[in-house]
Amino acid sequence: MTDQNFSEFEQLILKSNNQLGTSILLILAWIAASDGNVDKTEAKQLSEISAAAKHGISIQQLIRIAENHDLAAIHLACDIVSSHFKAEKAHLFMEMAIGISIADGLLLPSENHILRFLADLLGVNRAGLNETFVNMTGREIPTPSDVSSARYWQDRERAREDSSQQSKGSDSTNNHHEQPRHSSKAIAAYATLGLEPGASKEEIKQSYRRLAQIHHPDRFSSLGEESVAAASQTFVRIREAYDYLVKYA
Amino acid sequence: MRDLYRRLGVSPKASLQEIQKAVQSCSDARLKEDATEVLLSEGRRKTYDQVHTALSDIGALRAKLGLTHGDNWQGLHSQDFEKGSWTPTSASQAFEKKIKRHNPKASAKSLLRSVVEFVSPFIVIGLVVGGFLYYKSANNASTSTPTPPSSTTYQQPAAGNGTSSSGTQSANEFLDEPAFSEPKLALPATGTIDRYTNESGEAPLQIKTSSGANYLVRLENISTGRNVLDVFVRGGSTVDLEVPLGTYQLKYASGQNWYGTEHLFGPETAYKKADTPFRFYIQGQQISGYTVTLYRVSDGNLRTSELPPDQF
Repeated sequence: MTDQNFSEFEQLILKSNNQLGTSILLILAWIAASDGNVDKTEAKQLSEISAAAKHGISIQQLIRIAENHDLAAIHLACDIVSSHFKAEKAHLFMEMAIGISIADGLLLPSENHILRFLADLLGVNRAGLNETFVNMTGREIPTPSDVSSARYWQDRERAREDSSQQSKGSDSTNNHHEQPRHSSKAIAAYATLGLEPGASKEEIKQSYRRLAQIHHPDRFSSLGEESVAAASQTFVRIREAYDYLVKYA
Repeated sequence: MRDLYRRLGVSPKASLQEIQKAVQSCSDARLKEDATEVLLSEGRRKTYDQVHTALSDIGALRAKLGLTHGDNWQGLHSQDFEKGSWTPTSASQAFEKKIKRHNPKASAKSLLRSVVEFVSPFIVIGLVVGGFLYYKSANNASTSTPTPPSSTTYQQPAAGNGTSSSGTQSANEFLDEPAFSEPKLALPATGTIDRYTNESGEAPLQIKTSSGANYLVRLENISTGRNVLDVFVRGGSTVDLEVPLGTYQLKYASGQNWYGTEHLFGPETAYKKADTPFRFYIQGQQISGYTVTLYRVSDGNLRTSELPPDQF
């Protein structure tokens, strides 16, 4: 009737040795591409998951489909993914999606919106999504900033001015906001463990134990190699952050 | 987030001049302010466009997928991105139709394999429904269960393999089976172990079971396939073992009555194996072990599959 030929993504699915893995990767690539480009960290993470999925499909090709916003392809991937990740399994997919969203340490509004969409797709409600997010990052999922309002940008500008003024006045003694300086690496490590810079050793240990348990790759073994690989990456990141803080913090 | 382009009546690809013109002629004070602050600044517009693209994608996908209500979509003022008409379609069904059309007799072998793999979840559904209907008719129940279109469509490949008749066959086989006449023996105590190795146990393994069935748990060396140990665990009890370091395949037989090591739990023995290997190893000062809980839990992480008795 309509188009007789298979689309690019349909052809990939037919060729794939692991159709679920290929579909998961397209959705993860869509998240990674939502800020305009897939950066190095994201690309590395995607190709590792892709290698583990053993699907025999080029991740570059999937990234290109995602960057072109091929909605028919994403639609098909959503159908395939949602038929596999039902009920209790849904949050495991959400963990993968959150993992790629925060790969660069930030949750952008576009990524935030996509996570919410995926949660709705898999029947995960707001509380469930938030719980998974808290488990992974130690903080609540923020409400996506409304970048369409003048108010948001004005507030942002004001906050920036305030903070620059504050730093100007901080040369004297009466600044009780002063904190010990932390390198950017330390700050990133604290953030990975869901902690504020300067958290105590005990807090670091507790947070590490909690996160390591949640992200232990063994938990994902029933979902196939690509899920285990995604979890391993998070797990390694958590362990590196912990090792770093134990040594230097 | 609101769709400023749509509200201004310009394309998201509009040039700065076009937007400026639209803003000037805009009569809505708030929209005018927002558009001026957001779209007329290059950096802000870039950020805005990223979110705009994501929400446009999501709006279109929601309409395609029929996600009319979404707990996570409410309250974000994103209604601008909702599509007026909901045309939910199943991309996977359309894809399957296309595959059929391309390949009416499924003659190309590789494509057929792909089709079967792709529709395998539907085949499972089809068979379950089929089995259910068979059971119903055997009980002279007159209710007819409507079969979803997808399952009827994809029962075909399964029937080709003779699966549809196997239901009746296996039922007959079961009836024809000679009665099992072995004497019932006393249940061994929990923790009764047969070890088939001289290596000393080092890593902890704890096995918990729920009441209702008794278990004989077996560990096999994954590389040699050799049996390392058998341990008996009565229902509702827990056993702690120490096993040699290594990677094992875990199998278990379960049932009510014990007929000895040859017949295990008799004809009703259920044989299962864990889908993932168990690895016991030392890392630094820590020895990694496992606690295995043998009953159904909703968020369990041990997947098991049926095992033919001769492979136990």
